[in-house]
Amino acid sequence: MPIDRRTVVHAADLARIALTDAEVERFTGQLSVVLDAVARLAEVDTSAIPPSASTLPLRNVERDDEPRPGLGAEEALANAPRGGRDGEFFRVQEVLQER
Amino acid sequence: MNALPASITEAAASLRRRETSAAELTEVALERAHRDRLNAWLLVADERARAQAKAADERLRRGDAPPLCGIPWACKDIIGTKGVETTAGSRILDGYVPPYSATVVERLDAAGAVMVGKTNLDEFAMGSSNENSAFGPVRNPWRADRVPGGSSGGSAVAVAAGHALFALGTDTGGSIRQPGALTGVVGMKPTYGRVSRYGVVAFASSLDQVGPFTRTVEDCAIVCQALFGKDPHDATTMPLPAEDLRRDLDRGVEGLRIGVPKEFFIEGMEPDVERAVRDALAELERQGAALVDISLPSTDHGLAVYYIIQPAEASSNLARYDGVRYGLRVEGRDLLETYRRTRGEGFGPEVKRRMILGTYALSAGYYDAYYVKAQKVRTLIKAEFDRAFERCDAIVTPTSPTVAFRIGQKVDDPLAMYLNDVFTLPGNIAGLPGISVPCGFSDGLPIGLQVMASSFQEATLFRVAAAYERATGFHEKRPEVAA
Amino acid sequence: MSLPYETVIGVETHVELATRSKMFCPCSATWFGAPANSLVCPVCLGLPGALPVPNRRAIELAMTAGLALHCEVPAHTKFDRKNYLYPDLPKGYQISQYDLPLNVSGWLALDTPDGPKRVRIRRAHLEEDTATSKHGEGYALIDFNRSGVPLLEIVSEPDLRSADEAVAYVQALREILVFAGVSEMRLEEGAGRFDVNVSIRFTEDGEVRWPPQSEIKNLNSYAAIREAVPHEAERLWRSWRDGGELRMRTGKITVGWSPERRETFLQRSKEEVEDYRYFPDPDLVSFTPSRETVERLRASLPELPGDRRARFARVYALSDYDARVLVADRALADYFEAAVKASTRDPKQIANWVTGEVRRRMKDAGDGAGVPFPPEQLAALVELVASGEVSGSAAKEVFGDMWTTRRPPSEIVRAKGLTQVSDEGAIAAAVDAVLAENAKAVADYRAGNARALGALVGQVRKRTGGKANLSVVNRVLAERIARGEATR
Ligand SMILES: [Zn+2]
Repeated sequence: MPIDRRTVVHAADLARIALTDAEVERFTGQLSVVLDAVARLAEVDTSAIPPSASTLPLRNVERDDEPRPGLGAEEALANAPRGGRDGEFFRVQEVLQER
Repeated sequence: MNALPASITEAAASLRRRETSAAELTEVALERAHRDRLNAWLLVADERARAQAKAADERLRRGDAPPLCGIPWACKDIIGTKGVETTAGSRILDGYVPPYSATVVERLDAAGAVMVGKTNLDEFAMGSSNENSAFGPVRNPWRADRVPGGSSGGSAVAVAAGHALFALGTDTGGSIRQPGALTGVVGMKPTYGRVSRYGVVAFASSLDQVGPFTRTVEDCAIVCQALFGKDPHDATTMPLPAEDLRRDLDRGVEGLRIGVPKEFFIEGMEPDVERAVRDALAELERQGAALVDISLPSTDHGLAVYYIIQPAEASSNLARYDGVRYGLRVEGRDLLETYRRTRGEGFGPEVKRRMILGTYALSAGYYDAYYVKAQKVRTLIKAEFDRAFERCDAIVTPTSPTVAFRIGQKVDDPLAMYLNDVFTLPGNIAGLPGISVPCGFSDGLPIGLQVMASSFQEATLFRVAAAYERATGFHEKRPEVAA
Repeated sequence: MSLPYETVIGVETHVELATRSKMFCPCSATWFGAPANSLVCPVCLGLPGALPVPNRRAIELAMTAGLALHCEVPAHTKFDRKNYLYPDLPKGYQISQYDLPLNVSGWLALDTPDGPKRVRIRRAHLEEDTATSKHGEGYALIDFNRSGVPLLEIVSEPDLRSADEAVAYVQALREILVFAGVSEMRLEEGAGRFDVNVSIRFTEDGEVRWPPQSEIKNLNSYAAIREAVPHEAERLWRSWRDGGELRMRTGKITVGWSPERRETFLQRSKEEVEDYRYFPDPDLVSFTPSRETVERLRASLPELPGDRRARFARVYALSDYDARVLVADRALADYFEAAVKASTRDPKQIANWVTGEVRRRMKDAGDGAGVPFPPEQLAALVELVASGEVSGSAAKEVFGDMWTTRRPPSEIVRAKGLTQVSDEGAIAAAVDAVLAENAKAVADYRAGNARALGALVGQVRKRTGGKANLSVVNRVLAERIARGEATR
């Protein structure tokens, strides 16, 4: 499956990354080469093979329902970007598609 | 004193003989880190290190100090450190100071080790040459026009050039073993699930594992001993009983079966690399190991599997860098544009490339063909390793097909760059432990030998690597730059 | 009112689970009313390197909900990442469950005007809640206290046919979840939210038409469901009739509901549908609920309201009304049953006290107050009335005293001298005296004025100081008057 400009632009939109035209151009070429190499996977017969999300022989890892104090608001907000804090809140521009 | 001792074990012995102090070792390390011309360091934590050294000396005086007490170490700057800026080699984390430390840092703090500072790396650990750092490339101490490998290039160099006695790196496809090989030090990736990932900036969660760079195999086992173990903060750590990882270091390889997979001796491997590895195999055989020809037929597909799973997981892991709670924010007209600009300007080209690749591989209509397919082939690769380990106790291969290449040589050819990891990434796909030890030189540049073992069989891996190391002097050679 | 179309409704209910800590981190889950960003940690703030660890209690509550809704527990389940960027979602993905939810294929019994009905439950899965936002002019303020609170999303099949039915469904669902201890589901605190899928079905030109649905997002009250559903159904119908967008549409759209303007508004059309790129969360391992866990949860599941109501009606011969009132409050129902167990009398008499005086006093006492005396005491009071030792009106006085003093009823009766006179001789004497003094009233009664008897009864009671057992008074009076008639 070759990758074209439109696909690169669409994926960048989904990933919320602004790309310059030059980047779109360059990535399209580079990713086509990578995807060509990746496409060879289609040759492998996996009809009877289950997928592995992990190699770990572990199941049912849980913790007790014990509340513990976390960070204070001050510590939580300390890393807010410039303009990203308003009192005890994080501040962002108006949320999309709201009313 | 103007140089650090040759190893952790030597330093630990000197400390206990009162020939040196943690404070003295720390001053040497700080001084070397500050004088560094290889761009290995992003931050030197003088005050923190001196405070830790002071505490370590008190502990040493009391006589109950663990082996790493007072030992200066270097931390890859993808591992979060409370109160110490953590960049992951990216502009997008601009100014971020973690309010908590990674579990591995806490464990080393508890062991009394002294963190000298934070080391350079490929942005978000994405790279095999350390040229993808937002803060400039790291240079190889053996030859300054060469890369040190990546992504943990700064950590490898800090140990190779004698700035620290050990370092932590992270290995997702070879990011510890490959730079270990290219800089002539020991680099080790533990079994997936051995070491907590909590507090380590996530790259590809099912592949990432923290591990050490050291001068010797024994040092490596000592650091692993401090790192290993279940962490209640990481649901993917194995609850295993504690074991002495050094127990088999001196046992030798007599009677062990060493698997030699034919798929790992490929065209495109540099002749010197192949020669050095063949010599190493002969050495192991001479010591009484039985060489077993094995086959791992799906090795060929490792790269493809890796370049689907890894960017897919990364595309999700890196979604949190949105300029809302921390790091860079580049404001646009509206929130959507702010997201796009923040991420467009905050991420470097390799990260963006992988974000796009990973997003694409997970997107509607492609998920089954790419992601699910890759996970199935992953099952296959793991099964082939499992079968191979029925016939052998360890597998020995080259770590990297080449020695250190020139800075700039592969930057515009992602696929060529990705091929650097072709021998290491199968270990990540299958979750297996692997270690790279120095096994010779090609035109003055180090070559690495990879030893892999079955899951959670690190003791066997150390046994083979230590036996080999004892018979050779490669690990004792130091680059001139460092002198 | 008959509509030219049938409304077809499915509901996705989001319920906050009654855990103490959050889904994947130990921060307190009691977020409502807490100072902004005070209940946060690296995990629920999505800081670099933070990792989720699942809350056992949340998983068990989710399974309990599934069992209460007759769901199947799959042999294997896992968490997935749902990827989308939004400022209230700190990691850029929500940990949720995609293809292997914790619960599948259940049902809930519903009483409708047309009789009982089963609403099928497609699935119920666990996920984490988002942060809350306050909106200003051109900006939003984010508070991560709610981020990571465990949510159960319960998805019904499109089995509901009216707004009333949809409301009845969510009320029944709430009742079950509250009863099973899964959630307190305080709607006023946003602990229950509903996405309602509405479509219309009708016959046109002899063909059944079922155009694509609208999903009304984030309704948070019964009133909103009651208003929004018919509004959207009617909007869809008009759109179809007038040749509007519904005729072109191929997929579902997402709308919001404005309670102020009382209308829906478009949030997202099919064309810009989100691609959530679900994949298994590599930070978490999979789950295989053990048979022991499932059976333990099943065993600890309380009898559900519907079952309990039916049993109350059957076993205690209560009216539907009484059963409903009792079962609506689990503590009340438990109290009732304990009192019945301690009594040999008709359970209906106990029920009268519990649904009447007990409930009234509890309401007066306010939230969280229980009955100040044990159920055995109530049984003892009922016994005093049934045996004729105290009158019904005196019993009310005794009850009031029990509530405040917690003394046993027999003691109160004794202390206050409320024992009723049931002695026939004493009552007969009083009756005879009254009959002799009230010849006119007797005559009136005989002439057919039934009310005259009431006056006579009152006189007898007055003579006995209000303590005469009324049933004895009535009987003796009737006997004497009848006898007088016969001897005349
Ligand atoms: Zn938290």
